[in-house]
This record gives sequence, structure tokens and C-alpha cells, in this order.
Amino acid sequence: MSSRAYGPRWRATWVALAGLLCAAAAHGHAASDSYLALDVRDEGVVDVRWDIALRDLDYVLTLDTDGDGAITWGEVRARSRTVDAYALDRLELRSAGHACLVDARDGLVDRHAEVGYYVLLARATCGPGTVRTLAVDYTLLFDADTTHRGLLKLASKAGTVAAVFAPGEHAREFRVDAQGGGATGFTAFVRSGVLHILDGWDHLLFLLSLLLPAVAVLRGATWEPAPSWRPVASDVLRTVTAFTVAHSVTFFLAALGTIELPTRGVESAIAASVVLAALNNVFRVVESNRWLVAFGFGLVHGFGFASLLNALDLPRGLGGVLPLLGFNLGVELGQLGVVALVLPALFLLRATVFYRRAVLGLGSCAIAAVGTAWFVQRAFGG
Amino acid sequence: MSAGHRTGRNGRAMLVAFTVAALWGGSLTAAPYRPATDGIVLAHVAPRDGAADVGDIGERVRTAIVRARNSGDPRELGRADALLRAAPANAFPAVERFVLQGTIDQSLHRFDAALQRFDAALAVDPGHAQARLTRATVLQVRGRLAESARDCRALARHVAPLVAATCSANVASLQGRAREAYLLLDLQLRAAGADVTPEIAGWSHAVLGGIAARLGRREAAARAYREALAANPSDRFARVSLADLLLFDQHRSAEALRVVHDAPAVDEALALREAIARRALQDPRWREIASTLQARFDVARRRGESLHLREEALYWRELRQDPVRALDTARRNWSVQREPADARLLLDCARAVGDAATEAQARSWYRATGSALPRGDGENVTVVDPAPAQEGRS
Repeated sequence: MSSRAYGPRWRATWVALAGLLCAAAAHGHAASDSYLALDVRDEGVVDVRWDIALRDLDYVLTLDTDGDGAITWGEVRARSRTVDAYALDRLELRSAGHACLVDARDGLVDRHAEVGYYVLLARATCGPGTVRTLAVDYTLLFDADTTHRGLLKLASKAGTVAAVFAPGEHAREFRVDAQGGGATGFTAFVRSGVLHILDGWDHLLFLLSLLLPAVAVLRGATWEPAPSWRPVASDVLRTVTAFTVAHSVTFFLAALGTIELPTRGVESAIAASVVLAALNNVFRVVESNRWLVAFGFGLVHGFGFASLLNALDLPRGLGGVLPLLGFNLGVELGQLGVVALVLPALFLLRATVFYRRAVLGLGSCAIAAVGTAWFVQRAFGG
Repeated sequence: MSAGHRTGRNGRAMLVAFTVAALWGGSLTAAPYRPATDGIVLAHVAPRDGAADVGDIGERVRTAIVRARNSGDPRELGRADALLRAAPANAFPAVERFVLQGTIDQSLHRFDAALQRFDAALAVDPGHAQARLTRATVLQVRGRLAESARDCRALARHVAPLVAATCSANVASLQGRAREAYLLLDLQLRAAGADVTPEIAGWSHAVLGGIAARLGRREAAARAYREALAANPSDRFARVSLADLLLFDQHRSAEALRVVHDAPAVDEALALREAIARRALQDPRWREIASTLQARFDVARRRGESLHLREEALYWRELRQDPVRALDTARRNWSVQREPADARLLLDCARAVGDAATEAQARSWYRATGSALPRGDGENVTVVDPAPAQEGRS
């Protein structure tokens, strides 16, 4: 190897090289974040809790006064007024065009993911009346660390919203009165629920299996068309209600973390329920009390919905109840929509041979076949 | 239709909705407190030796980049970035400014921005070895192999033969010429002997290990990774690769744990491997590590970062037994990074869920690069003999 490899240019090369390999692995430290929690109260008051990493404050304000590498509570306490002033200079709250007055009230500490934070507690006064909009301009640390982010949680009558402040996006305005963004948050969950049920073919096929025979009555060994829509409607109502109640119960139990079941088991059981419900239309084991079938298997389907929530990391416990309600409501709406589409068609077709042979017979067999394939894949696959 | 397909289609829209919800339960539920005495230590920072923050702006930026490299702390990169952006126009020669900015950008996974900087630097000074080597690596990460190979060849006139050979061999091994690349690099390493800095030796051996692994030669790969670590214990790529080989191909969890423990500093990638190994060894301490990792990933997701996607996918698959979410994360990772480890991740995650379309996508990477396809049962990697053998047996 030639000696020029050790020249200054080569040393510089190594710096880049090492940087690359580091990037290929991962970073050992959490990146720089602050957590800003704003709580809009009555009478124009906004409570502020702002958690800022002590390491970040040290970089800009030198908290470690004795330079020994350890930031002590004594050092923080001695500088807390400076810290408060520095931080609050870099946070602007405005309501209806007027700047809010922000007063620091206390300085405490906390830890997030093993990292020490300064906790600035403050109160903002945003004018005499109710706060309807709140504009937040966040510029903390962006001039010192371009990877710094401000994670906002804004609570108000309108619900809770989250936002991230970055160097390029440091100002945002929020509606915080009751007609504001909270509804869109809830609606988002309702929409998620609808999308989930419409995309969830296993749940739909199960429901369909229960609906297919609803427009016919069994006389001896043959299906005859239901005489009027009344018994059909009440049968469907019973079945759908039973399914809804059952899956709502287990959905909430699982989503709130009361019961946990293995995903593979639940998914396999759901596939099995599709098979059994469809085969029941052919072999007629349960004839009159289909709502009981709906209820029993509905319990299993509820765990299925909840396992999706787990995968999406919804907070456990009571804090997450509203989104859960929204999601579940969405599932019910989607389900009712499907019933409203399918049932009239079935009712009109109920007296035809096509219904008896193709829909009820072949349709059920096809559903059973699909369900069996799912079951094999879920229980024994990958 | 499996659960995997369901989540895949609506997953993105739902994630957005649920991210809002994730904040409702918030991470600020713990109560802040007032420490009992002044002496309580709340955080650690680098001791001030007086040297770190003085000197000209260029020196401070360079110091911050080196510190970021040594500590793995992304803050240092952000600080270097801020210093560099605020520096007056005449603080650096134009080329150096481009190279420093590009180095920061690529470390923060802003690959396209990094490529632009290196392009600009090389337009002014085509002989700038650092710019060329770094660009070659970024191009490789992005899967632009022909361009990467061109940079490696151009490098040969400006750096030591082993450096150019390592650069070229790495790319060639992904262009279906792994066997030649292995022989070439092995020869170069022998020729260089002890006359190499520990960092370069570590890097070259680690690259050799990666090529061996892609050839399906697990023992040779493990040997090369260990040589890399013997030369440079701080080589994270070698350590993580060795841990993965032991964990996922050879099922030697106890050994993987030792490899992690020997590291001078444990970062997220290594902490994750430690948790996976401990879980396999039925050591309950894995749960503690897992919860810290989850907190980190949660914050990263809220920040909209892509730095941890590779680790996060493994986390879902190995620690939370959630193959559906693992696949979703692996797919997102694939849209950012396309290194061998990312292809393997995509393949394994797709197989775990039975997602044929994604598996085909991963397989096409293996076909295109001529890499040995790991067997579906996770037990073995197809062994390709070092001597001329049948291509693409799988």
C-alpha cells in the first residue's frame, strides 16, 4: 500500500467512510425532541407543559456549569429562570390575532425513554373571551440542531390533536372550539372502521353466509321463499344485532387490554367460522336460531378487529376509548351498508331457482371453499 | 384474503388516523417531579475540555461529524448541519462545504440530497476521493449499481488499492459477479497484510463477509466478520451482520449475545439483536429492552423518520410476533434503502405472511444481483460452492 494513503486527504476519506457504516447500522441515541402539551381551558387560559431534553438545553445554555459532564439538579435549578426565558422566547401563541401572555410557573424534571428532560410548566393568557383558534409558532433549537422536532399535543373542547414542528414547518394554526377539528379526528376512526369492514372479506363472507338463508324458510327438506318481508327483517335484525353485540364486547375487552389472544389462533378461528356458517346453509345443522351462531362467532370476530388495533398501536386503557368507539361505529355502519345492499336483492330473488340453487347452494359451497383455504393458510402457513 | 392484505391496503390511511390516537394516551402520563437534593445527576453530556467549541467553524463542523460517528448520536449531526448552514459563504472552500453537507445528509438518510452535494463537489474537483467514495456508497444503497461501480473505478487513481478494491468488489458482488468479487477482495486483503489502518481492515473484511454471505457461504462469512471485528471492534456493520448471521441463519443465539456484549457501545441495532437473542434463550430481560426500543420507534414514527425502519421491522417480527406489521414496515424500508440486508428483510417478512407479490419483488432482487436465495424455512442458506458451481440453485 502506498504511503499517500495516509495523507490528510485519506484521513478525511475515512471520516466519510465511517459515517456511512454508522448510517448503515442505526443510531444509539434518541434524536432531539421536545414534547409540548397545550391544554386550552375556559376563560382564555391555556396550560402549558413543555418537556425539553436537558442535553439540548446544555448545548445552547451550558447547564453543566462545572463542566464535569454531569448535569445535576442543583445546576438546573440555578439556571431555571434563564431556561424558562430562553424557551418561552421561542414559543409564540396567538389567539384571534393577539399574542398570548405566557408566564412560567414551575420548573421540574422527568425522564422519557431513559433520557432526562426539563419540564417547564407555564400558563398562557389569551384574552378575556373563549379561545377559538390558537396559532402556535415553535422555533426552539432549530438554529442549533436541524434534526430537532417539537411534538405538540393540543387538548381542547374540540378534542386532542397532534402535530410535529420542524425547521420548515414551525407555525400552525388550530381550531380549538367545539365545532373544530375534534370531529374530524373521530370521523377518521369511523372511516377507518368502515374501510376495515369493507376490506375485510372474511367478516363479510361470514355475515353473508348468515344472510343468504334469511329470505327463505325451510319446509321439510326444501327451502321456500319467505311469504313477506316482515319475518325476513326480524330474522336479519336478530342476526345482525347478535353479531354486532358479540363482536363489540370482545372488541372492547381486547382493545382495552383485558384479554389477549394469539393472532394466529384468532385469525384461524375466524376462517373456521366462515366455513361453518356457510356449510350450515347446505347441511342445516342450526336452522332456526341462527342469531346464536352469529353471537358465538361474533365473539371471535371481535378479537379479530381488535388485533388490527394492536397492530396499529392504539393506546391501551381508557385514554383510547373514543377512537375505539369511532372505529367500532364505523365497522357497524359498513356492515349495515352491506346488509342494505344485499338484502333487497336476495328478497327479490328469493322465489327463483337461481336463488335456491346458485345463490344458496353454490354460493355457500364457494364461501366454504374460500374459508377453508384461509383456514389452512392461517393455521398452517408461514 | 389474509389479514396481511387487509392491513396492507388501508394500513397507511389508518396509521395516520391512529398516530393521532397514539398521542391521546400520550407519553406524558408520568408525573414530573422535583428532585430531593441538588446533587442528583439528571443527564450526562460530554465533559467540556475547552477544545470542542473553539476553533474555526470548519473545525467545529468536522468535530461534530466525528463525534456523531463515535457516539452514534443523531443530535451531533443536526448540530453540525445547523453550524454549516449558518456559516458564512467564505468559511469553507466550496468543495469542502458540499462534501461536509453531503456527508451529513447521507448520515441522516437524506440520500437524494446527499447525491446532489457530491455531484456538485465532483463537478468542481473530480479527484476528490472522499466525495467519490461516499457517493459510490450512497448510489449502492439506492440500488444504482452501474453508477456506483463507475465511481469505484474512478477512485482507484486516488486511494490505496485495498480501498478501491473493497469499493469495487462490494458493487460487483451485487451485479452477479460475487464469486470474482470475493476472490479479488480476498487477494487484496492478503496482499495488504498488516499495512492497513484498523478501520480500513475492518471495513474490507466486513464487505468480504457480506459477499460470502450472499454466496451462501456462512462459515466464511462469519470468519470474515470476526476478522473485521478483531481489526476494528467499533465496526458496527460487521457486528450487526455477524449477529444476524448467528441469529437468523445459524440459530446460535448464545453466541450472538456474546457478539453484542463485546461491542464497545450498544446502539439500537445491537440492542435489538440482544433482545432477540435473549428471547430465544428464554431470558426475560428481553422485555425491558423491547419496551425501550418501542418508545424510540414510536417517537421516530411521530417525527416521520425513516432511520430505524429496518430495525423496526425486525422488532415487530421477532419480538412482537406481528408479521403483518413487520411486512408493512419492511416495505416502507425498501422504498428508502435497498442494501442486501433490506432485501433479506423484505423476503423473510413477505414469506412469514405469505404475501406472494412482495416475495416475488424480493426474489427479483436476488435474481438481479445473483445472490443465493435463503431457504423459506429460515433454516439454511443455499450453499453455493466456492468452486465454479451451478448458478442460482435455490
